[in-house]
Amino acid sequence: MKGALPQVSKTAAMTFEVIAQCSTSKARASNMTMPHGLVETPMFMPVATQASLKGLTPEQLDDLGCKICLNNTYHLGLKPGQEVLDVIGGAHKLQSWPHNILTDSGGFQMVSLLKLATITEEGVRFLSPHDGTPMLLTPEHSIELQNSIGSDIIMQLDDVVATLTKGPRVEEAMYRSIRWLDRCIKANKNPDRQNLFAIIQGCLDLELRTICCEEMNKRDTPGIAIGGLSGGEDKDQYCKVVNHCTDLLPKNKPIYCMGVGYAEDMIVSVAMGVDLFDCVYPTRTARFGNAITSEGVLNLRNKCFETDFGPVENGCECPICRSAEQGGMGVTRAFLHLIAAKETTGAHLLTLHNVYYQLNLMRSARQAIIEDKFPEFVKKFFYKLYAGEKSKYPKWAVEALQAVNIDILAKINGEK
Amino acid sequence: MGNEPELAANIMQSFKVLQTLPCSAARLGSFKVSRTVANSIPTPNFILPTSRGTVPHLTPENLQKHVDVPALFIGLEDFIDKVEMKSPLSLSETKIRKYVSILPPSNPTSLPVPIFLSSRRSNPIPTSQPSSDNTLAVVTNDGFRQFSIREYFHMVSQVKDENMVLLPPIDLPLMLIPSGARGSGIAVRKSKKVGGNRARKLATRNEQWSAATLKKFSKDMPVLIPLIPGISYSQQQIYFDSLMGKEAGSTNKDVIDGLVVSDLSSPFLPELDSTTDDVAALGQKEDMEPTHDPLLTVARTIDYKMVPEELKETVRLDMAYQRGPHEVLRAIERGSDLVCGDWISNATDAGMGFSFKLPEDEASVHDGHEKKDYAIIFWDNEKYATDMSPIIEDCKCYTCMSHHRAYIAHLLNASEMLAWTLLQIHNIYTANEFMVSIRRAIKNGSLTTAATSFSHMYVEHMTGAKVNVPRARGYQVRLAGNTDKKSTEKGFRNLSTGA
Ligand SMILES: [Zn+2]
Ligand SMILES: [Zn+2]
Repeated sequence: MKGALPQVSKTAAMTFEVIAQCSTSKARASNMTMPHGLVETPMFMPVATQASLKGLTPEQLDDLGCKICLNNTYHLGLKPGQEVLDVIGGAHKLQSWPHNILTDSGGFQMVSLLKLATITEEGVRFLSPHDGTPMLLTPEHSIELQNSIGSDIIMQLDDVVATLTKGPRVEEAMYRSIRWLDRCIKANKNPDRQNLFAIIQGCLDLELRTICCEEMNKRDTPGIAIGGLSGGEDKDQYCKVVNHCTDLLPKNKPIYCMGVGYAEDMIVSVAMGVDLFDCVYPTRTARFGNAITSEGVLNLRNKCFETDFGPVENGCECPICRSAEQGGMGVTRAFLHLIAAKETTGAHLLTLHNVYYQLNLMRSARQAIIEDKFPEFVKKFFYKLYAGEKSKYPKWAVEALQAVNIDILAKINGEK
Repeated sequence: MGNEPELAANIMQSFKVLQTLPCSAARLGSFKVSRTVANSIPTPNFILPTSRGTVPHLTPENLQKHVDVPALFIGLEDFIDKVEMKSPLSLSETKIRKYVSILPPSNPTSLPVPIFLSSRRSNPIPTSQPSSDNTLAVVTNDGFRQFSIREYFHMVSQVKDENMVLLPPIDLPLMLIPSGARGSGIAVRKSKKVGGNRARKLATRNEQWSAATLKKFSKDMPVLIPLIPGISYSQQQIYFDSLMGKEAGSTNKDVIDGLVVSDLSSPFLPELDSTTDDVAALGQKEDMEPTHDPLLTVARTIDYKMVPEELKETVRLDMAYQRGPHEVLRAIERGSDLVCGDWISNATDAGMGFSFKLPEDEASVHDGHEKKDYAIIFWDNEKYATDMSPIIEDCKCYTCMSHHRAYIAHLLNASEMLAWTLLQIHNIYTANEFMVSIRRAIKNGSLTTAATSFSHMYVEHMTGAKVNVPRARGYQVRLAGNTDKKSTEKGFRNLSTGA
C-alpha cells in the first residue's frame, strides 16, 4: 500500500514531497512548496470567502500559523470583480496576504446558490440574479477569473451533480468533468505560478470513480481533489469513495477533500491518505457563539457558561485561551457568554480559537505521523471526544479506520 | 492657582492646569488617575466608551497592539442581569480589567490604560421608570431594572484597581414615556428644564449619592461628581456646598477630583414620528437642546465660569455626544478637559475613515478653497475600488501601514467585519493625533486660530455615511432600529466582458 520514500513531485509551481508515512494506515506528512511559501500537510485551510476571515486581520491569521487560506471565486467575481482584481494585481495584494491562496472554480456556488443553473457542454448556464439575463460560466471563464485572482492553487470547473444522483447523469458529469479539465489546462495562462487541480467525480459509483482517477492521472495536474462529496451522503459511503480514490491516485501528489472540515471527518480522511481540507463551519459557527474543542462543541450562549471563569478549553494554546501572562488574552467562557452574538469581537475571538483548533489538530496529526504514532493519536482523539464512551463512537468512523488498519475500539496506551 | 489645602489635606490635587488661554476657556492639563502610581492623562483628551467591556470591533489583542487609547469608559449596567441576583461579574471575584481581558500594555514600562467606571453607559438609554432614593434605573443586557446603590458600591469595591476613576450614580431629570412610543422601555426626556420642586429633589438625591461615593471611594480613587443637567448653578448650590463640606454642621472633607457634565439629549433617541434607522443621520440632526440658557449646566452650552471657585481647577469630563471633530473642538474651547469618544466608534460604524488634521501652520489655511470632508466614506466603492493608497498618506497606524483604501472599500461593501476593525484602528489613531495637536496648539497659544481654520477647512455635517454593521452592536441600536440588514447581493457579472 505504501510507496518508498521519497515520494516527490516537481511541477512548475509546486514541489510536493512526502516526508513521512504512517506504518499502519495511509496517513502521510508532506511538504508542499508553492509561490507563496511552504504548506505542511495534513493541513486545514480556513475559508476567507470575500478575502477576509470573519473580522480577523491577515496578521492575526498569520500569527495562528495559517499558511494557506481559501477565497471563493464566485464571491470575488462579484466583489470586487475581475476588472478591479486585474488593476490591483490579484487577491494577495487586495488582502495583503503573504502566504498561499486556493480558489474554487465558482461552479459549486453557482449550482448551489443559484438553483436554476443548467449545465451544457459549453458550461454552466444561469440567469443573472442581478437582472435576470442569461449568463454562462465556462471552464475558460472560471480559469480566466482565477488567473485574475492569482491564487496559488486553482480548481478546474467540474460538472457538479448531487452526491446521491444515480443513473446516466452521473456518468455524463464524470466524463464532462474530464473534458472540462482539458479545457481548463489549456486556458490556464499561468501554469508557472498557479497550480491547477483536477477534481475526481463519479458520485458513489466506485467504477466511475476508478475511470475518473485513471483519466485524471493521465492529465498529470500538480494536485487532485476528490469532489462530489459532502452532499448529504452517509459518512460510510463518503469513506468508501475516499479510500477507493486514494488507492488509485498517485502517491506523489497532494490530495484534497473539498468542503470537509469536521474534526472527526478530517482525522478519518487523513488516515485514508488525504492531505488538504477546507470548510466554512469553524468560522461560520463562531458567529453563533460555538467553540470547537477536543471534547466537543460548546455553545457559549448557554446560560451555564455565564459564571464559568475558565478558558474555552483548558490547555489550549490559542491566543484567546492562553493567559495574559503567557502572552495570550486570557478570555473566559463567562466573558464570551456576555459578548457572543452581541459584539462583533465575540465572533472574532471565537474564530481565533476555532481556526487555531483546526490548524492545531492537523499539526498534531502531522507530528504523530512523523513520529509514527498516528494510530495511537487517532485512538486518543476519539477517546477524548467521546469522554471514553466507546459505545458512542460512530460506526462509520470505526469501520473506515478498520479498513486502514486502525482499531479505535482497542485500548489506548495506559487505559485500564 | 489651586486652593487645594482647603479641600485636601492629605491627597494631592489630581488635576493640574498647565496652561490657559486669554480668549478661550480651553486649557492644557494633566489628570492623575491613580492615588498610588504616577499614571496621568494629558488633557485635553478623549475617553473611549466600551460596549460590554469591548472597544467596538477590536479584540483585546488588537486594542493592545494597534491602538493607544488614553482611557476607557465602562458602564457597569452592561454586567448585570435584569433579574436581581448576584451578577456573574461579582461571582467572578475578579477585577473588571481582567474580566473583560483588557491586556497590560505591550511595553512593560508603560502603565495600564486608565478606566473610568460608571453605573451607566456613555449616552445611556433613558429609562421608563424613575430612580428611587436607593436605586438607580438602568438598562441591563436584557432589559430595564432598578440597580441598588448599595449593589453598585459593592461591585465597584470588587472590580476597582489602582488605575481607575469613579463616577457616582446620577439621577437625571424626569423622563416620561410618551403614549405610542415604539417598543417597551423606551422613554423620551420630555422636560428640558426642570422645575423647582423636582430640581430640589434631584439635587438632594444626587447629593446623597455623590456624598456616599466620595466617602467610600475618594481615598482610593479619583471621584468625579456630576453636574445635574437642566438645573441652574444656583439651584444646585446646596448640592455643591454639601459636597464641599460648606453646609452648616457638615463634616464632609472628601476630595472632589472633578466634574462630569452631561446632556439632556441623546443621539440615540429617535423622534417619535421618525422612521429613520440611521444612527449617523440622527447624530447629524439639529441640536436637540432647546434651552440655550448658559445658567443651566448642560454640556453643549455650559459656562464653567459659573462653577464654584473651589472646583474650577478640577478636571472636567464632558460626556455629551459629540457629532464629530468640530464639536469636540468646541467642547474643548468651552473648557472641557476630557470628552466622550463615542463619535470615533460611531464614525467607524458609519464606514468613515478620518482624514482631518488640526491645521497648525497658518499658511495652509484660509486659502479660499472649498471645504473638505473630514473623513473618507468608504461606501463609495466606485471611487476607491482600485485605490491602493492608505487612508491618509503619511499615517503610521496599523491599517495604513498594512492595507489600502481598495481593500477597506471592498470589505465594507461586502459587509465583512474586518472593514470596521481596520477603520476603528485608524480612527482611534487619528483622534489621538488630533488631541496631540490640540494640546500643542494650546501650548503655543494658537488654538483659537487653529480651531477657526479647522471650521473653515472641513465640512461639519457630512452626508453619505450609513450604518450597516453586520450585527447590532450596542444596546443603543435597539432604539435606532435594527441595522442587521442583509446586503442585497448584486448579480454575477459576465466573466469575460465584465459587463
Ligand atoms: Zn483556545
Ligand atoms: Zn491610518
